[in-house]
Amino acid sequence: MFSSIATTISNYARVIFAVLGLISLYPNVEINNVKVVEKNRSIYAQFKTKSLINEYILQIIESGIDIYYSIAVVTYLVRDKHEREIYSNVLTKKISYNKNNYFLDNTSYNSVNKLIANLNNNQIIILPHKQVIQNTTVRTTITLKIFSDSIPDLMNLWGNRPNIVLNYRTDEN
Amino acid sequence: MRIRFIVILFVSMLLILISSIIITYKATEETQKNIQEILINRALIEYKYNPKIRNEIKKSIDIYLAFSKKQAVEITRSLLKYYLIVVLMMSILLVFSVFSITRPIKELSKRVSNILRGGKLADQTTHDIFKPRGSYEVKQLYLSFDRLIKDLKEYEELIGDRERYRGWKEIARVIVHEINNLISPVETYSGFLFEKLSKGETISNSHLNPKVREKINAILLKIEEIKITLAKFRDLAHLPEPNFKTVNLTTLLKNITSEFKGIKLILPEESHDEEEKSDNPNADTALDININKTHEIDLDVHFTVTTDPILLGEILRNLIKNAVESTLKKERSDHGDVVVKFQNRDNITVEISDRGEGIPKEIQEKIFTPGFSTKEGNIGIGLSIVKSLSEQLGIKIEMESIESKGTTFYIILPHGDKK
Repeated sequence: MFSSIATTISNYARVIFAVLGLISLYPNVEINNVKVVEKNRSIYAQFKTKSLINEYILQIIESGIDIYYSIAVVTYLVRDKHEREIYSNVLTKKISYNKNNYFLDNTSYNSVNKLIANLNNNQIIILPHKQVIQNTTVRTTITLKIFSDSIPDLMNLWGNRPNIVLNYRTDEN
Repeated sequence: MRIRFIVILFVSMLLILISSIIITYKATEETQKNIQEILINRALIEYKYNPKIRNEIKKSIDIYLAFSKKQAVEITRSLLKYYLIVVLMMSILLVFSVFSITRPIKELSKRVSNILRGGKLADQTTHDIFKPRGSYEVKQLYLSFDRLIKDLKEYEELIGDRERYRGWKEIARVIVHEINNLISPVETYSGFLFEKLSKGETISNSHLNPKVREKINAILLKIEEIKITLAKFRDLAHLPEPNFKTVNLTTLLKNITSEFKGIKLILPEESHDEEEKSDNPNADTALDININKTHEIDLDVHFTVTTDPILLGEILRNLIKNAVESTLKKERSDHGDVVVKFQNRDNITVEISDRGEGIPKEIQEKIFTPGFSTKEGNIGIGLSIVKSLSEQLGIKIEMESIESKGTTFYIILPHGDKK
């Protein structure tokens, strides 16, 4: 009983804060376990996400609308307080639903949990050909997006605008 | 008080605002759900045989539903400004109301503390100082304070009078005792001398003179006068406790007035004859006391009051005696009248009026003080006894006096049984 009262009060408080523009009623996308790793002379960012596909987005997917999940990477070279873009890339994945099957690009999943598990583990190149830039300060921004051809403001179904900023220095070989 | 009111007001307004937000949000959400259900049902019926369109409609509804929370928040947010305007206006009105209520109370509180300052009540009441204002309740509060302060003043005066009177009683008791001690041997020795001289015995050969006997006799007479005066003081110091019983006021008044020589008791039915008699220059010029009952009172009805007849008789006797003395004092071509009149309205009132010289305004307050008198050779004890007795009997004594026209004493008695 007390927990239901507490939940009701908490929901009302969320509504108040949402109306005041302090929070969103939709779940935030969480990013954790961010790692920067070097593989095959390239630098990768590895991270895990949570609540990428929330119940509202899932409802849209299940209604048969194709949506796209994208990871945009922009890497800057930082020198004397000046930044120069040296690399950018956008990794886009199509999420769709057909006949009780979920699809991530062409890969099929028979349950939503498997789809979400796959989506939550991310790895993306943030700096290819690492040897070209040595002993330099680099800054990379990774921005997550979700969009659809038929729904322009799909991003509003996320409670936040998830992004990662990575500042690191390339080693000398 | 104001700050507390404003804090309560602020919290109340905040609660109203929060409630409005939640109610609006919930109402919007409910409306959205209802719309969804209506649309889905309609799509299922309308496009029963066209699954493509039906699916398209369902997609639209699902999108709408997914964004419903956002829309509900936006609708509520758009209404929030109106709520804020309403709440702000309500707050201003309520703050104004709070101030309009508290301002007169604050002012009243300030005035009352000024009145009560120094532990003694001022002569002015709040009503005298400023006009009551504010709501009906606040005005009633002002008037209640006025009544309270007036009552307090009356009690203060009463307590002051009682204290003074107690002091006088104590002084009178001591004086009587001391003078009695002093005059007792003087009386004894004077009596002894008078007896000896009356029998022809001499103190010495040269003291057979009758003038000596005359002087001793005069001493004895003066001692007797002193004793009478002391007895009056003793009366003041030892007033008896009242013995309340049902008293016929008409009979009592007849008895008291009959004690005064040359006074005729005139009842209303005789007044007409008396008026004719008064017009006659050869009429009896004796002092008259007219007992006039007001016309509301049946002549056969006797009024009874619950009081001590002896003590009430003493009050009436003193006041009638004063009235008679006052009229005799005034030199007039015709005789003065002392009127004793009944009234039975809210209270039974006995009026004793004279057409004497009246009491000057500046000494009217002092007439009940023991020892105060305007009459030559009077010790000024009568009216103080009247006041003390009236307090014991719960009788109110009021006085009206116009200089050179006369004085009226009102003896206001509590109601007894009416037979």
